[in-house]
Amino acid sequence: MIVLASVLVLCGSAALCLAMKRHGLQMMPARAYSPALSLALRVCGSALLAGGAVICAVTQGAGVGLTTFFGIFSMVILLIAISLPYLAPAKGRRR
Amino acid sequence: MKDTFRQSMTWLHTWAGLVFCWILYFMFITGTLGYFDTEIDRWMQPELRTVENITLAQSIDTARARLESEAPGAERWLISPPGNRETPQLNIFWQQPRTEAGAGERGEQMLDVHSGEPLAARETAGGQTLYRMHYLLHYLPRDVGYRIVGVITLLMFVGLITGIVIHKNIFKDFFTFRPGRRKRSWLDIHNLLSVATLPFQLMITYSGLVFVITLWMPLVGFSSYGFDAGKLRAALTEIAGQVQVEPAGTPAPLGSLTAMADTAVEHWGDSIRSIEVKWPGDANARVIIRKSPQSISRFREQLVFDGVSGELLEAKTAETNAPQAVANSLIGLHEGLFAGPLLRWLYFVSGLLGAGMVATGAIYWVVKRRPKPGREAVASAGHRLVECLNVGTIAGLPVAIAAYFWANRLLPVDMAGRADWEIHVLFMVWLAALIHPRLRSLRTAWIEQLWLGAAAFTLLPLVNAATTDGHLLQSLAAGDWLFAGFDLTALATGLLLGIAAWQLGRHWQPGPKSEPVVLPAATLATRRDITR
Repeated sequence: MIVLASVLVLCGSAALCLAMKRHGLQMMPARAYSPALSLALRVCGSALLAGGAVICAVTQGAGVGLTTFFGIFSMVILLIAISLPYLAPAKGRRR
Repeated sequence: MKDTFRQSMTWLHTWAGLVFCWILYFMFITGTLGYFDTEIDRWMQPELRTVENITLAQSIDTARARLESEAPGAERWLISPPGNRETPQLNIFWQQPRTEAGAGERGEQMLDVHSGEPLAARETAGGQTLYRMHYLLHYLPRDVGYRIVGVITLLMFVGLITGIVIHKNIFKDFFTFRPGRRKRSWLDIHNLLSVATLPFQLMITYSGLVFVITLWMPLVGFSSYGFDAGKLRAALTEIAGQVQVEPAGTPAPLGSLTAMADTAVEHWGDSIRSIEVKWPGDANARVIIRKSPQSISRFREQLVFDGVSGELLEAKTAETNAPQAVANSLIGLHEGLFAGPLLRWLYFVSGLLGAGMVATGAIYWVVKRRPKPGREAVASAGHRLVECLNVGTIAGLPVAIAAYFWANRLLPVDMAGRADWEIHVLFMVWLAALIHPRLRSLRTAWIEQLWLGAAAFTLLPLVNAATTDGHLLQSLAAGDWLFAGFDLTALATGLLLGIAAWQLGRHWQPGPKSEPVVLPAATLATRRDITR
């Protein structure tokens, strides 16, 4: 179950990240990015994160579960943020 | 004072952060190792084997027999049955009654469950000393170390709060990392480490302050109990819900501890953490059996028995004092004793990232202030000092800790004062690492120390293999995850330090005016986006 929660947190964080204009434009063509997409990503991302937190809390109890959730969340943020510049397609070269 | 609120907070963040950052880094590293304190203990005494197939009754009888011969007339005995993370071996502890001269004598032993004799293993300072250093430091009287740590914890908290205030785009920059941009990259990584692990950092620092609450808010206690330290201590013991009982002075034989333990097993199943006996051999003896931690709180469910008749007097299943419950939850979160393997690793990595946060902050301080090329002479003595302390601590402390583990394997097993010498080795190596950058150029000092750390950790499994009768492949094959985990963690640490040394060798730029580094395309896009 913790693996499932981790995957949800990873997907949720990635969605929230792409919902931000800066990273959305970094990762996808400018024409693909729209405010509507951003909103959709934001809603999905939040829901996935909440899902991850609920799974942790239900399987391990609120206290231990939420502690685990925050631990996983921290690792996921770092993983995404640090790999992002290296994952981005090389389209930004045009000035 | 600075002009705006944010400027003054920046000033405070810079200086509250810098002044003690090296001790803070030390506290983070040693405290983080403390999450694996008993695992390190076991690695440092490889002679000991795990206890198998021992019943609770056997453990209790062995411990009791030993305590009766070793510490009759004690004020309290504590028996910790083997087989759990905190006490893998059967542990006994005792304390003699307080005398005119001060606190009574204490003793502690690990016992062989079969023979009842103390276990024979090399003397070592172990993971416990490493962990204790994070709140007591070392070579200092207990009180002094504790107070210094209390002050630094407060500064760390100030650093966190001011850091949140001055971070303008805490949400906008949530996932932002722009590599290869020197000052900007250091600030990015400092922000990223801090923001990503913020829940952990806030929790660990705030709960750290709860530990030293009587140091920072002594007047609260004084206002209710006066300036009598003894009265205050008694009151705190009572609030903490600890059993307080005075000896009757008439001897009476202690009842059957195994029978009382059976009652506890009926209540909780097989999760007895410890059995405490107050005033064994006295008519007023009490036996307190505590449960293993099941939740984040430090509070342990306990059963209190009459020590003579064995009658169950009281079952404490929950706290009755709300502030105490809050404090126990915070302190429990800080210690993380409830954490299973996954959560324990998350704690460990979060702690290391906290150390990384402190380190990147200190590095950013010097990178930002490095003199421009052509004005090298302007570099002040203070700037140079910070650079040297950074090398000697950020790269040097890991070397010193590796040396501590090496010392455990290489010092003669029967050496007098062996445990102390392990610690001396740690601090001597750290001292050398602090002096070394004075003798070399900064770049060389960084790279040499990082390589040294990489080598020291990578070779640790080999040293272990050469000096004990087990090695990594054996422990992997046997599924001994404690020894395998230690070796693998040492290898991973060595690898990371090696990568750091290698990258630093390739990318070192002394001054800010040299040619810009080749940027990955993505960062250009980001930059364009920002300047828009």
